[in-house]
Amino acid sequence: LTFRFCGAILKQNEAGEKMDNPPLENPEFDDNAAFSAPEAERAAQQPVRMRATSDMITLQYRFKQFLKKGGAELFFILLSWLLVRNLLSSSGLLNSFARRDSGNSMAIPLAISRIFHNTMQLSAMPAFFFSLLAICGLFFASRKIGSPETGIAAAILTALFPLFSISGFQGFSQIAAFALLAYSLLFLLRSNEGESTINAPVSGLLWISGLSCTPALFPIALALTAGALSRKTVRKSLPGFLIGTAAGFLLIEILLQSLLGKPVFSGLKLFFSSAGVTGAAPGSLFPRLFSSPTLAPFSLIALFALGYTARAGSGSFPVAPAIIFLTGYLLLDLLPVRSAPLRTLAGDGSCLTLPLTLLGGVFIGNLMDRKSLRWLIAAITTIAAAALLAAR
Amino acid sequence: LFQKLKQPQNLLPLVLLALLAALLYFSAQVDAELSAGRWLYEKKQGRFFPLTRLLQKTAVKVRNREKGFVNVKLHKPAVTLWTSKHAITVKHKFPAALFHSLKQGKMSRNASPFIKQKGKSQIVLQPWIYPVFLLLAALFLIQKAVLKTAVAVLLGALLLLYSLQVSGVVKNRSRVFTGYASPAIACG
Repeated sequence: LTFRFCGAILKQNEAGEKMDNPPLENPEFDDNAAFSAPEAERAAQQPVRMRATSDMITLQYRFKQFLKKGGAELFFILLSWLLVRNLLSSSGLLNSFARRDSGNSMAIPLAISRIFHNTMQLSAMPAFFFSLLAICGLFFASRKIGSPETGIAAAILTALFPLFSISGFQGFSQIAAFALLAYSLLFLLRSNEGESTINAPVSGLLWISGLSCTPALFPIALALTAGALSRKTVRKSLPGFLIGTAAGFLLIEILLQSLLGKPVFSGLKLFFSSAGVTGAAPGSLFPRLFSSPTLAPFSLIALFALGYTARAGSGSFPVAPAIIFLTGYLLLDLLPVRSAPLRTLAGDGSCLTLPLTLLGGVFIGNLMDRKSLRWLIAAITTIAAAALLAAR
Repeated sequence: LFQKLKQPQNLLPLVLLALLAALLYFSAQVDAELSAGRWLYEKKQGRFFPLTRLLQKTAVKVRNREKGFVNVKLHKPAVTLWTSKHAITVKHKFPAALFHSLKQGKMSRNASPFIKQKGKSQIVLQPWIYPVFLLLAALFLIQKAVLKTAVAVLLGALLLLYSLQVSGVVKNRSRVFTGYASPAIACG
């Protein structure tokens, strides 16, 4: 950092010297002749505007910018999530790993379980950290889709989504998949920025890793990725994304075969064999979307979000993402179990954490200004703290 | 920060927030009832000695708990003594009742203030959830910044209570429906 800072200062000095003594390419032509005398004086008095390069931006400046763009609110959301989690666990409502996460058939959960020696107490740690990562990932991805307010609203909804809390207590496979898919979406949306070509392959790698944790999230993962790719600027990242996915698949196969001693293509076999295990009857998700206490408020917020956006005009309505979300839902809910081996999560609404919080975040982020969102977070944090004190 | 909070437009949400937090905290003070004939004890050098029998049913406030004994403050006469923990009947008021039911894991029973159970497993939403959406709809219409922030405070409080309550329902239902487990768990 010191080197970078010194380099930036040197560059700044060089640039300053250059501006003090500008080279005259054409000595016969004098620019100042075009101005009147007072204008020329005023122009001379104005500070020289310089273009900032990435070397000149310090870490402190970046941090300040991050805080301004919703980072401060994100810290408070994480604090309120910790309070809610503490309240749920200390009141005996939810015990960490009352069920052992034996999702050992999948490569990444199996590797993590091996690292933590398959002990229930220690494997609560990955669940905790993946939950934090998932909230941050959804914040960054939603902020990329819309504004800082969108990110803040999506993070609030994720922290309070009951099925997200439950997933964090029932093992780490699903919560890890949420986190990896959120970051995959973020990197894919970032792939159109600058000249960096690494974002799209990283997104593909994270996408396949997320699916490796919970393969049944495939329809949702597919819908989110396709929704992002429907943006014209992101579409050119498709080859990079596919290369990253293929590389990730190979890495997971190597992990399974060399380190975990599984047979060839066991990941693929498990991917398909896991399907249909907990599959519910076709159409079972739809009534639950609007009647289940766990899903209804968030489904209604998402429905309001679609209506609100549609009201603004057909030009601004995101037709392609809406169609893709609908396709994801149809894959999940309506196709028969045998012909759709990937709709294992239809009976469980937790698979809808990502789309519902993203849609709700867009809606609430549009509806509320930063000040109202801050008061919303303050209310959640203060009341959760009071409840924690009272429940002791 | 204090200067910012002192601004007139922040006063209403601030008062509302303080009121909600205080209501929640102080209502968690446990009220109890002590029936007639129960022994009252006094504590000397870490030991409990019987002092007198209670002549009539009386309301008390629970102060402390220790080794199967509860420190209670009687209303009439206003004294603080100890009694057996089995002697008191605890009453929980609204917000405290929510967290009491959290502790007991009785979220989907009729005891819950927010969610009703019909039959064995069918759970229906109570009307309390609808204010959340009314408040959201109100945000469309409200232009005044003070009211908007006040509505945001109420919305945050309701969302938090909802989230806590429903998390308990999921736990109880997961005992009945194995389908609630993570698919990865089922696969394993």
